[in-house]
Amino acid sequence: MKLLLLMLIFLLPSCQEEQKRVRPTIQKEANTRDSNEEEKQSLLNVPAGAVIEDLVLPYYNDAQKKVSLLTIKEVTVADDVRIDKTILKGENLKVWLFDEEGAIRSTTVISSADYLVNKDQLVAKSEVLMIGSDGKFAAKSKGGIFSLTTGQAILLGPATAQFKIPQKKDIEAP
Amino acid sequence: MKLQPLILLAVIPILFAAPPPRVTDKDLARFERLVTPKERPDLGAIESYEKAEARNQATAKRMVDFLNSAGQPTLISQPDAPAPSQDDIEDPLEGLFEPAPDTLLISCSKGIYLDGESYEIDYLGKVKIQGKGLTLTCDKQLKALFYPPEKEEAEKKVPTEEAKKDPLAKFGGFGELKQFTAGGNVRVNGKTEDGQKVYMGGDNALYEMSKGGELENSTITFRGKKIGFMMGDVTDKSNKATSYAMTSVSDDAWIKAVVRGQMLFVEWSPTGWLTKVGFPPQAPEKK
Repeated sequence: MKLLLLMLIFLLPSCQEEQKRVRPTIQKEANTRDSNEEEKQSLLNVPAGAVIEDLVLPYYNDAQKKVSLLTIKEVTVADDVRIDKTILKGENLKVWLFDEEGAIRSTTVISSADYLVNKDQLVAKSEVLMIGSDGKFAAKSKGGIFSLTTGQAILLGPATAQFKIPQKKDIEAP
Repeated sequence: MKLQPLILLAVIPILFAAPPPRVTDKDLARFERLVTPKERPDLGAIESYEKAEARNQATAKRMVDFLNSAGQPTLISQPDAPAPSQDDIEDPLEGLFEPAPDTLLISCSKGIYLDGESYEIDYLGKVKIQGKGLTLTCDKQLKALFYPPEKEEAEKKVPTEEAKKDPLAKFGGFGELKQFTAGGNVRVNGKTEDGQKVYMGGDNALYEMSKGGELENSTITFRGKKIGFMMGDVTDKSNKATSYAMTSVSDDAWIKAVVRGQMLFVEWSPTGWLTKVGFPPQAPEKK
């Protein structure tokens, strides 16, 4: 027992030192947070019932390349009493997803969806229509989830997609 | 007291008492199979098959991480909802997307996963592809892989400062289709040149487009044990053409179908099959 107490006496101060070492790095990260990020967070401080029009939210990766772009025609701020949180309900939304080169890969049209500011996700429970920017791909589903920071998306099933296939090239006569 | 010499002494009689390892007939057969030089035709599709499998494993983790963060960790494993691969299920698009000669129509039960970092699309759950006179269905997952979109010469040059400031993005799209990998009870139905029905089935399949993403001359490859193949109907005694039913009994077995026009041209490995042949009824001999 005495041995255990002795060990605790030695261990506790070292744990506190560790905490002191970690704290400044967390504060530093918080200070360097994007002003963009702060603007998004401030949306949660808007009183419930407020309506914001024509919201444009671009997302970039660490190399400052475009990952996604979200535009919402109308956002209604609402309080969800069940989870005691503010939620943003968007209508007439469009999501552009970009490839690694920064070129638009697809455009998605969504009639209504919830925008989760903290997770940077868009959750659609209505019809989702996605079209490839080269016009060769189209997909439709009854809902979807978009991760705006990573450019990942899932169109929830049942879903249907269509590919346009190039036709066989005719051989030219010599 | 040192115990090591005693332990060693105790082990020696046990070693002598153990029966020598036997070489069974099965071991001999395996040895023969391994050392016999094989003349396997050069099938590009087989090599691609292995590459595709390796690639699928590499990208699976990123999808799982995303599904976890999206609150859908059980999406892949959960029991399937009504399967659109069954013909009696109503099409959710209500005829908006109709199969056309220049399109492939894909429906799936669980969802479509896309990732900005890769030129791939995953179809989850029960999947059905229709196009060019053939239908492919599978029960687990279908992965579509694309050739990255080709850049124009002007775009390949190093971007200038002015170009970097240009707020308008360029359009890339998904590029041309390269291949599909299908998993879980894969079935392919089509027709041969003389109008006979063709069926192929197996656990996994690779569907590769020909160069330029065309369906013409695209290939579908199955390999391994328990591949099924049927041409015509061996049980139909009134069938006028010779019919075949085959099932593979070897890991080395493969079957490859080439899409030409609305037909399938099929070839298969020379060994590793149990085959049943249905001959057309012979006309009665005249006296």
